[in-house]
Amino acid sequence: MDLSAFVRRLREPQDDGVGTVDAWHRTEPRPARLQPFPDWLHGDLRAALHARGIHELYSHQRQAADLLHERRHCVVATSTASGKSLCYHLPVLDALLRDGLDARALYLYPTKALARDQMADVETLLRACGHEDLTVAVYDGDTPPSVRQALRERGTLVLTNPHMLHQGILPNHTKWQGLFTGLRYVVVDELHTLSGIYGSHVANVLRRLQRICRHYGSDPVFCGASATIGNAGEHARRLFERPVQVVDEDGSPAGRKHFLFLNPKVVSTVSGMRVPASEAARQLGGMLLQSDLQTIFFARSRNQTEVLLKYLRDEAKARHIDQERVAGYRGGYLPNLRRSIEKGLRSGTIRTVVSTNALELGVDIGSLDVCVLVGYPGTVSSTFQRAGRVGRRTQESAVVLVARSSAMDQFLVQQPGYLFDARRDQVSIDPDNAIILTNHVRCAAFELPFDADEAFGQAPGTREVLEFLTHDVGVLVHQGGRYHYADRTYPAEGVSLTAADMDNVTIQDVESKTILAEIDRPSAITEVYQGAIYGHQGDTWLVERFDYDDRRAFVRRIDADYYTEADTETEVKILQLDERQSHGSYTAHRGEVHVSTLAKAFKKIKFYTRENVGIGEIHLPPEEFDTEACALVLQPELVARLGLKKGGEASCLQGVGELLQGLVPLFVHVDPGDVKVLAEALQPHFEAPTLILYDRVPNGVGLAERIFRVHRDILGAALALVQRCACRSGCPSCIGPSAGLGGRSKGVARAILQGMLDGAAVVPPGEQSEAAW
Amino acid sequence: MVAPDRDKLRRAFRVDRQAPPVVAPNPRGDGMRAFLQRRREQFAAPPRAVVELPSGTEEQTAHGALWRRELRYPLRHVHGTAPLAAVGRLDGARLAALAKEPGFAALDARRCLFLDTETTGLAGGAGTVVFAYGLAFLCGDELVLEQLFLRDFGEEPAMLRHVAARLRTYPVPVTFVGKSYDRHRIAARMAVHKIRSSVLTAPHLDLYHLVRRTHGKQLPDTRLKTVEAHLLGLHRNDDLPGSEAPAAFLDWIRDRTGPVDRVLEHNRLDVLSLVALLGLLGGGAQAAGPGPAAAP
Repeated sequence: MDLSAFVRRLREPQDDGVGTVDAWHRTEPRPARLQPFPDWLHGDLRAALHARGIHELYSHQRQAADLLHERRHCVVATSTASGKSLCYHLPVLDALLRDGLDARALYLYPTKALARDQMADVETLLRACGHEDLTVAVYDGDTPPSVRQALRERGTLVLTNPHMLHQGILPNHTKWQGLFTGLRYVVVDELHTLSGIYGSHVANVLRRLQRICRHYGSDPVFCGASATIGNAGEHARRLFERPVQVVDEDGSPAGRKHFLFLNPKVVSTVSGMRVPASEAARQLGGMLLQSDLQTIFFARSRNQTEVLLKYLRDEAKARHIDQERVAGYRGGYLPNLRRSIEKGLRSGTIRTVVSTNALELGVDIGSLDVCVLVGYPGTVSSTFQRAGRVGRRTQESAVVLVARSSAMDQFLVQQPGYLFDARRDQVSIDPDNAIILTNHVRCAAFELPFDADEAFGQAPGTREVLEFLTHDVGVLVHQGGRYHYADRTYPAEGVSLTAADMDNVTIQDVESKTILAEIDRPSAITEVYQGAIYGHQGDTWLVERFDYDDRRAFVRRIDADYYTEADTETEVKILQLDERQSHGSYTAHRGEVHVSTLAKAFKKIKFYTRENVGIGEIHLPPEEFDTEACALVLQPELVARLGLKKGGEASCLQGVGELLQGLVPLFVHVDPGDVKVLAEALQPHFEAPTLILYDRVPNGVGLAERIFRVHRDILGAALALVQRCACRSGCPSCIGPSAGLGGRSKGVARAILQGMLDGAAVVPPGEQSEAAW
Repeated sequence: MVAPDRDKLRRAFRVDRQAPPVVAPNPRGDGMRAFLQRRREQFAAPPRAVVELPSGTEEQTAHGALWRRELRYPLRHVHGTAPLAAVGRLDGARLAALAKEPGFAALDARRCLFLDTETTGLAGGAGTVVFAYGLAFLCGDELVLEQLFLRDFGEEPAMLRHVAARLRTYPVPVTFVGKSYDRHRIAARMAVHKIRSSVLTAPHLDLYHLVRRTHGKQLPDTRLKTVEAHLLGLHRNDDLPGSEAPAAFLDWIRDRTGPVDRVLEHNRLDVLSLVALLGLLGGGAQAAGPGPAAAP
């Protein structure tokens, strides 16, 4: 079965098929637009490229390379596999070949793996230029201490990650004088991943970097490389705080690509429940395993990855296909395992891989034929990043989106045009977020004293932050016209750029005593509690003991015919309210909350049948954090009119909450998990039915504030969706399967939304002005 | 962020638990703020006395003021039970072998700069400040011991330039654990202030390594305090532990209360021990000094 046969087979209506292809979209092949090498390019580099078989550049490569060579900051936002790295390698290597140690470069990649990939690439290129004397090196947590000093002194091209720059390099800039004095280029790759709170942190790390460059007298050119996002230029300008040229006219060729929207069969017309996406994906996998088509499945979670991997391995076994041809890939696997999987994919020995978003970034795995998205990835750019894994160069490829029953997925199946509209996700950051900014000003003061009138990048109010750190926190001293760091601490150590690098739990095999994998602590309470089944490379491991304090989980390999799922309970306490809007039938508040999540019990679920075959208790402390939230409090009149004090009616609020949660990403442009919605029939603080939408990042990154501004649009979209939905009494595509009220659920949910939107907006003038942000 | 929301920041940085008294009452101050302020005053430790620096001189340099204290010791001075004079009769061959550095065969004690620093912490990195230096060198038949102290962060450039100049005149730093610690702290501060110095490139004689080679097996450990007690017969009374030096300085620089006088006294003894120890370890046959002294 070749690709067109696969696409035909999927599109044909079949009774025994996986589901129906409700929509089909095809992108036509695009020829390459080529340009000659620029005249300024060093002869050795030119020769090395020729030797690689590269005789011309794609138009965007030439455009970006010229800009950088002319010392203009730029961002390259073109498709996956369009050769973005060559855009910056050319001017950087050209400068290194000409000026050696006086022309250094710093490359930032979001992960260690990407940095190592790129290092190998640059080294090959430099060697082909006949220059082995220039040191190209990755400097990260895995760099052996014995070579660090040599690297600090002689590293001409240093590849690292934002975390290492923040905690290792900048606070020790005095050991990196050579690099900072000669720094000519700074490259920030995968710029689109620097979003939300993480991106806001990195923007401040870059402010610190620029401050240190000024100290040593260098003024590097910044280059960003990004997936095709809607606001690459604006995003790069916020990160670099420099004028930035945008290069987004893709000159690379592309083969024909089919996008198929597969809606699994409906199992029950009453509940609207469909065959689970993972089951549909399993059936697709069976079909694909017997073809020559190399396939990547993108699952939405670690657990789903492992379950699907197990299913596909079982499929392979049933069909007498070598199970080693099917692999899993996700964060948490140790680096060596990941390297060997990447190699297997490139060489073609692995034909099928099931991955989390870990393979969304530019890790080199070659080009595959079919991409199966098990559920909508949540954002448009994520979808296209994943889709970019197949059909590089001119070959034909297919992307299959297997829809789940969720509102979001069903919306897309109904309106696939949404994905292909010109509007792409906007990546947003807030570098001036008070808490993030204050943390980085503190780190910056440790690195170099602040002049009293010095501005930290374009941050407003640097002076106020310095005063706060001096008088309230007590870590700075203002003397001789400058603010000096006067504390015993190493501040970067206490500032984490992402929650993920905070605290890892290692998962250890009790028999071999080796470390199997890692997991971040917040996820650990729902994945490696005692009694949990931990999936790893399609195998099942039983967690025998979880030493929470010591951050270690001990597992034993068993053949379980079930997997486990933890039930969590989340409690949100109101800490303080900062702003309110009255809308008659409800009041919207913005403020701070305390969220605690407790894993109390778990279910054992049988593979395939999904039968519940047992339960167990979990005894672990809750995960707690403070954050920002937007609360929608229903007013007595509406509550009385809809009878929301009664249990059944109140339970419909839950459905409304889930619906809103699914729609928030469309309006606020975040990942689906970034905002949570809690629906409470009697919220203790307000003593009324309440929907609380909160920022999932500790301390918040301002999402709640944006939701507060646009929440009426979200309510409007929710109402439209409920009204459009063809189901009778609620289904997973709108307010969820009807629960408490049976047939009336949908009507009540609709009435809640209608009632909230109908209430005359009573916005006093004072609040109005505040709302215009 | 036009004006940071101070209350929110205070919560985020948990400053209420340890905050110094609020300087200016917040006009928005509510009941809670006033309550906390009263509680803070209620439980606050009684105000501590201002600590005076020992007598020293303030010198005006081209790069600002410098506080310096100079002490002179005749070479017959005995530190603990060890005479300083031994340092004048170094056995170069023995030293070179012990230090595994052939260059020290021709070492002249008059080219040595005995050096010990006090820093704001052990964290390392550019922001760990060297706030006091103890330097000593031979001059005629005397040992000159000078201490530099940072009374104000604005005085650091003058202090660092003075140290860089001393290193030019006395190019061999002699320290205890300075090769892995002190010299990097000094180099970092020099770089912050863009001052050139030879501190990282100079031939560095770290007595810690010598002691480990000569007495490592006999001594319970090779911390300076232990080495002093066993080899130099020096038993310190009322010594401020080195680990308390950062807090002493950080208090003093803010409100003049930390016991920096005791830090300087501690530093003075450290430097004298360096001189005595070099004499003991690298001295000629007749100056081998007392054998291991009885433990205290």
